[in-house]
Amino acid sequence: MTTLLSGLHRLTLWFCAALAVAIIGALSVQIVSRYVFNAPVHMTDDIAEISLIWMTFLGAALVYREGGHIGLDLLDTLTRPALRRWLRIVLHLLVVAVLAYVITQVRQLYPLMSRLEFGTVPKGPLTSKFVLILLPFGIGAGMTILFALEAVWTELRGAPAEADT
Amino acid sequence: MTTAIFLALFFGLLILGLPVAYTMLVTSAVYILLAGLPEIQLTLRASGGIESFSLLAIPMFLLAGNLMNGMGVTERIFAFAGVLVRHITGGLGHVNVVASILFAGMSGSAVADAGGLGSVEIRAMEQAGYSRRFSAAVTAASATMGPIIPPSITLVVYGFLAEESVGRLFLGGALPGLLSGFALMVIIYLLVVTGRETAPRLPRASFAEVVTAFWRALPALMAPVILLGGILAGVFTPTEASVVVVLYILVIGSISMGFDRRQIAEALLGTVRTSAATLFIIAVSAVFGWIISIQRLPLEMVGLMQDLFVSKAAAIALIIVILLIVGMFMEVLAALVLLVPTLLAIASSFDIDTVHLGVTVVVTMMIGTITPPVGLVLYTVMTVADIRMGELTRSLAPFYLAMIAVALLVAFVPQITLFLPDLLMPTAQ
Amino acid sequence: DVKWTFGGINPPGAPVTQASKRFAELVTERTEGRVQVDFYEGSQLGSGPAQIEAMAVGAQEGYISSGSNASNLVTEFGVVDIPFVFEDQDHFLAFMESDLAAGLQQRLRDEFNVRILATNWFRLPRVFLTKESCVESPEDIAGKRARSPNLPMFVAGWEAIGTVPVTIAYGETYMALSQGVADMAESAGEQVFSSKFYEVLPYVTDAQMMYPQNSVYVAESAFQQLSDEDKAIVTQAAEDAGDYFVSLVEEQTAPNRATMEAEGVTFCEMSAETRAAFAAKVADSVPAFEEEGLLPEGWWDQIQAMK
Ligand code: NA
Ligand code: NA
Repeated sequence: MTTLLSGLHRLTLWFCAALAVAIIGALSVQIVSRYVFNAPVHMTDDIAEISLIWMTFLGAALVYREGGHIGLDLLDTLTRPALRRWLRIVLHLLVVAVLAYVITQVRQLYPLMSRLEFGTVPKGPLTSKFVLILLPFGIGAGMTILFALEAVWTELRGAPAEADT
Repeated sequence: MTTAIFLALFFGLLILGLPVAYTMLVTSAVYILLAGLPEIQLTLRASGGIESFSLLAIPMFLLAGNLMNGMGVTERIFAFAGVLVRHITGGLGHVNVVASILFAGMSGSAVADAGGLGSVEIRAMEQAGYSRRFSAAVTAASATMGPIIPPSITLVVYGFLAEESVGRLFLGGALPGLLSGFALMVIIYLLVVTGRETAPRLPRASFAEVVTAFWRALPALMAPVILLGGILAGVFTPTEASVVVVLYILVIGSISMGFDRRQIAEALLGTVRTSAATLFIIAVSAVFGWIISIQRLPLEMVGLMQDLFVSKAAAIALIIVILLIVGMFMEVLAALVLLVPTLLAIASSFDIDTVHLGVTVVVTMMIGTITPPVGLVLYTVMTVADIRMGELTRSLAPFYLAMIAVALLVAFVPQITLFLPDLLMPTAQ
Repeated sequence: DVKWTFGGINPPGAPVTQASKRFAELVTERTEGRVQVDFYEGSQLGSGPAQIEAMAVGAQEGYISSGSNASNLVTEFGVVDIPFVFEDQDHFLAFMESDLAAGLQQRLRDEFNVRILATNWFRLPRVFLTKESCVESPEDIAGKRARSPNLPMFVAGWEAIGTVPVTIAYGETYMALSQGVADMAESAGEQVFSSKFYEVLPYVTDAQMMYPQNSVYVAESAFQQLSDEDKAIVTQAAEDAGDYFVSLVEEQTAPNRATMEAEGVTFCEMSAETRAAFAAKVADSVPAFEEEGLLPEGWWDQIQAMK
């Protein structure tokens, strides 16, 4: 299971890197098309924004698995190890709960958002606002749930959490 | 009652160690359910929270910083800066501040400074033997000059809200921005002189050393020139400028150091992690901001205090206090939208100039960006420097005092703000 | 008693904000508190599209802003953003009262839960803002880089009249204009002053490029919960607030213009011939609009027949 999740982790990381490259590419095309050819391409701003959104929500899931999200760490030095472990488990489960709630809402928004368009991007079933903006939020939430459950499982088995990339 | 639960839950979860982004998400969800607000807003607002073109500058300036590190460009810049000021007490601390002043002149975003330039500065200061917490503190404090010194996205938004001349606002920000830079350098000098911080010092560089370092750093030193030139000549917008920096660094890095695929890939992956962590907080804070708006929390607070005003000085002091408190809990632009209407009303009843008010607001609100619990610059520096919040905020303490002093000076001496606009862009009346 | 949450996106001092607050007062007053409208100004509840989406899922009761914002849900509302499609204000009004417009409102209600309560919040026609001289013919702006919002219809419209549209977010526009990323812009007449674009582009040509108005949107699910009496009261209040909006805009126009003229801004009219020349260029692009799905086939002729 952990191997599988590590594979997912690695794959998503490279996908996010590709999105960062897409941002660079899109904005470069915008500058060059405007100043070298005086014929700006309009989709580039949208492509860059969409790439940013996907990169953020998928990337946030990866950062969750790596324990890299910003937070306070006051209790690390204060409490007993066993108590800290249970605290960590509770917090992971809290994240699972709130993200599961988010996923139900993403589904609720499908009927509306799947009918809406985004900026100057060509129309199509794969370019609805649902696919471009809500889906990454939902997928990121789903991946984070998996990673949180993995972390709970690791805590319960008593092994230190694996931190590979 | 629900407000009390809101605050208790937020701080409770934060102290227990839940990351900021998830603390905001959980607190928002619980509050929405308790207060009977429309539930779907949680996902609707958070998913749309980063739908903004100007945020693209965050990953790009982060990548620029990572690439400069990975491709050896940073070392050359700091070698050059070193030969210039390494003999002055506080050495690279001052360089850090001056670099941010130059950076602020081409960027309107403090997060871009902290994330891009900041990673360069912290790495170089650490390599030079400065403590990580001091390096991070100077970086965080100096990054706040970004939106004070023109150009400034924040002042453009204020100008829109207050229907005030953006040109006058930009000119108004110049002197207060330089004043904060000066104040930070004074603090650095005092900290080092009193022995609270150590700033490794080297003997003054020889002329030959200076020339060599200058020559090696020249391609990098040209970056701001190309950037500023490009922006001023209208070749690209400030957001697009961030991409140009990335491309330029790729080119000069490859020429001088060779096209190292591994280093570039590592810079890219590091950028993905840092920007995702930062942007995820911004996305989630949109829900948070919506809740605070819909409950009219800051306005209630201001309304209560409005009854206490007796004099102009008291009014200004209260405005500063409100801005400091709200700035701690909210992102700057969201807070502007909430507070500016009330502040304008107060300002007009006490005969406070709107340009003066705008610059005072921005100078004061910037302090909140480097304080917990909600401080984007603080979080960015924490991520970039890999440092804990407690350690960083303790090192920032003297800088908070300096910045509050500058805010008070700017608030009570309108001439600091209004000198340049009145000189160069006088109004009709 | 019901409590409605209404939002806007304009700053506090703007006429549309003041009129929105008047609407909220009128509703509360005339329904004797049975309907209370809470109005949130300045994008406190999110961007325009975000607020309209919230209404569509019943998470917000109302929104007051640009009439063409409805195109976020029903694309065809964007036809009012076609430059020079209307010969004059009367032609625009004829369209707003036509079956075409009624059909769009119906779709907005049935498919997206959004009702339009009033469309009579008329703004001042859109003007051209240029750097060196006023616009006297299409040639004057041929090949000029024009600032455009990131809306397909705006982009296509700028292209149709011979400019090179550059999409720039509203917040970045002032800086982009002052740095020359774009050479020209357009603005609703009453917003020239508050946007400050005139500081960079001091020539204002009354091109009447479009006839913008604001609409009062309300969530249909919320509206249907009211008694018939309250429905009528709320609708009337939206229209009365619209009249108030128009009077506010009129009140501010002359002093704002005087201030700008004192700062060296030049205001020019545009002749009927020049407008006709622009309209002819746009007419040539109709097949392209239809191909891109911006304009339903046959609509151009139907709209032109309403003159
Ligand atoms: Na700095
Ligand atoms: Na803060």
